[in-house]
Amino acid sequence: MATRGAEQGRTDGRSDDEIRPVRLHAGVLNNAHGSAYIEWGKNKIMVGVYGPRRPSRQEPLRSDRALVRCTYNMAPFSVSDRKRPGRDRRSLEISKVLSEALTNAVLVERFPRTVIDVNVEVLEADAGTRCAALTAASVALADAGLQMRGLVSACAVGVVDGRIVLDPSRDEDNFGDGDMPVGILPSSGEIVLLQMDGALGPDQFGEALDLGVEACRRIHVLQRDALLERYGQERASRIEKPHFSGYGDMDTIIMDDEADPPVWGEEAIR
Amino acid sequence: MSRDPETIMRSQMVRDLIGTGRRRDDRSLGQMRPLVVETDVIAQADGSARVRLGGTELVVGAKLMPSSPYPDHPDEGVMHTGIRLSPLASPSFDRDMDAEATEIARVVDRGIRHSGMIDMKHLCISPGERVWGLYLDIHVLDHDGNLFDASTLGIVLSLRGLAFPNSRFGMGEDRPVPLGEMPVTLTFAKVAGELILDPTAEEEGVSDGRITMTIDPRGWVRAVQLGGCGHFTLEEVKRAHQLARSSAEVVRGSLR
Repeated sequence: MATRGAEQGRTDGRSDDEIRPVRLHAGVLNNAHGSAYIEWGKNKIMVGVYGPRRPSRQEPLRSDRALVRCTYNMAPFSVSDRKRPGRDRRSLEISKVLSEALTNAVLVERFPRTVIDVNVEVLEADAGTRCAALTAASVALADAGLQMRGLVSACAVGVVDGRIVLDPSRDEDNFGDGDMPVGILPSSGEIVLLQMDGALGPDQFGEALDLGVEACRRIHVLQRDALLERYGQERASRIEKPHFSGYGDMDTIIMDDEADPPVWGEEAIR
Repeated sequence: MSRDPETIMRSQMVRDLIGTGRRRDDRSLGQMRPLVVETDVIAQADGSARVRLGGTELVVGAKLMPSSPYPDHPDEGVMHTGIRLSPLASPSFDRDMDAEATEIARVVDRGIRHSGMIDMKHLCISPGERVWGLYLDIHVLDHDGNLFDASTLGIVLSLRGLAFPNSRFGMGEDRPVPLGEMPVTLTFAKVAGELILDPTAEEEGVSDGRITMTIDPRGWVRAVQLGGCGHFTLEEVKRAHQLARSSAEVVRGSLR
């Protein structure tokens, strides 16, 4: 299975049905009610969840359920040419489809007249940010302790030189023939995110969809592992914040409070 | 801020404690929180750093893009500092934060700009035509107070690895950007008549004002901002200046 299409090869040496390396951690922020950090290839994405809560702004609330309000935002330094800060058409659309996908995951009817804010910050983008964001967002919702029908798992399928490949890289996304992000609720098998652009032949569409759904099930295992790492039997008493994967001459500086002598005020301590 | 009884009691406790020279996290009044920095964390940026100062966490990405000079400074690069107070960083960021964000970005920008850490003339490509635009973007992920000092630290440390991305724009090989010495920003909150360094969000919430000073390696003051609906006596401001100078040396020594 791992040798499919190996003779043609992919730009980064993966086989056609191979997902890039994924790191996923739950409970990584102090203030957010729930949070998750994902590195997927070179994507680096932080998700923070607040809620269910009353919004501070005047907002049309639903009397029968909670509103899941996802905000997808890219840091200006996350892409090659600096991105102008603020909302744009792409991020608004992604925010909308992610909100709708996540609404399926949460038992929203348990929290009427509230909002659940899911804030997605893309710190580094490397193709497939919406799938990585959705995967991390459902882990952050679980980390917030919300009652859920299940996690949402996502992965994109691409078409490169007429071949169907899993989890297209940035080059494959830019120069490929098609891109189809798929998100499912593995607990029920329902599809909750599906977009596509490019060209998929009549026989390819079903094949691509099958491959995407199968990949989502692999991602689901990683999500479960992240939650077990945080809440499982061998739960650490205090979770260490995960280090970001660096590149080049990455350097870590730690200025310990012990090494920092009090400058004043110590005379007042008895 | 809500004024429920619990909040009022906790505020009073924080103030009372500081009045006796102590703080909730056992720091002395002039002590910074533990600092953890990772540099070169964003491959798409030309320089980057992740800073954790106590419970405050932010990522800074520096980017260089070819740009046009200002007509009155034809041989100097241009610099822009921005900050995103992401709603994921604090429950209190669930509203329009433009004024707060703009103040932090502008104060931090002034300190970096006037310290001479970056000589804008070094960012000139062709006088009057093309210069480098240096974009410093701060992304706050967790807010537990003192975003000013953490932001300057993040910028300074992201600049340490900064290189001209010449190859990306077909201008030859990348080469390092010459750097001067780093400025340090120190913020004090005034609580119960005391000046406390590096306030947490809780301490900021009960403070009677805030004073921020950026100090260059020679001990010169490069930016000042008073804020937070408070007032300071002349003596308090002079004391803040003295404390900022000595604290800047401590921070500079740790990061060397």
